[in-house]
Amino acid sequence: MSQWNDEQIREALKAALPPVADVEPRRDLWPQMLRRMDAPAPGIPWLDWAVAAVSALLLLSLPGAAQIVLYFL
Amino acid sequence: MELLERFAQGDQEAFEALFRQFQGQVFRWIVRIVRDPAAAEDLTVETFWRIYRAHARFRPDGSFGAWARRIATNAAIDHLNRRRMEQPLPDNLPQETQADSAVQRETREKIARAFRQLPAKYQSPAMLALVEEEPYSEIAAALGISEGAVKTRVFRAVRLLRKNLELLGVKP
Repeated sequence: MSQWNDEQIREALKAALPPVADVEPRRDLWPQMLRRMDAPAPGIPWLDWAVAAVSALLLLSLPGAAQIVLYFL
Repeated sequence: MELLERFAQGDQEAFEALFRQFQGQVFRWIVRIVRDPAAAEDLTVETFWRIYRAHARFRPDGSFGAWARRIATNAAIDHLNRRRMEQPLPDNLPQETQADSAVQRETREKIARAFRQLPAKYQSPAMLALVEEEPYSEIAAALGISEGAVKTRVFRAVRLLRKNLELLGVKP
C-alpha cells in the first residue's frame, strides 16, 4: 500500500490550501476598533466558571492528571 | 516623547497611530494562518484590543511589530481552536482552476478537511512552514517557542495528517 511521504504531503497541502498572495483588509478597521474599545467589558460566562471549578477540583483530587492536561494545552 | 513610549503610557492617539501603521501587517499575518479574510479582519481588531489592554506590559525599547505578531498568532490559534469544533472550511481563498476535475477537487477538499482536523497548535506552524514557507525562526518568534519546538510540531502535524488522509482513504 502506498504511503504519503513528507514531500507529497507538502505538495498536497499547497495544492489544497495555496499560499496566500498579498491581501489587504477590505475596509478601514479603525471604526470597528473604536466600537470595540467603547463597548462595556463582557462578564465571564457562568460556564467558564463551572469549567474552571471542575478543573481545579479534578487537579486537586488527581494531581497526576496535570501532566495529561498540560500535554493537551 | 516617542510614539512607543506614549502608547505604553496609554495614550490613545499613539495607539491609533500604531493601529494604522500595523493593521495591514497584522491582518496579512493572520490571514496566512486562518485563510479566511473576513475572520482575519475580526481577528485583527481582536489582536489590537488585546494590545490596547496590555499596553502597560509593552517595553518601548522592544519591537512593536514582533509583539503584535505574537499576540496576533495567539488570537489566530484561539480562532482555529473554535473553528475546529464548529464549521467546515471557508472556500473564498483558494481559487479553483477550470482544469480541475471533480476527482481532483474532491481530493483537495479531503486534504484540506484532514488538515483542519489537526489541533490548532499543529495547524499554525505547519501552515506557516509547509505552505507559506516562513523561516522557522520567524514562526518560533511568533509562537513564543523555540525553533526546535516548531520543528517538532510540524513533524507531528505531518504525522497526524498522514494518518487522517489514510483514514479518509486519500492516496498519493
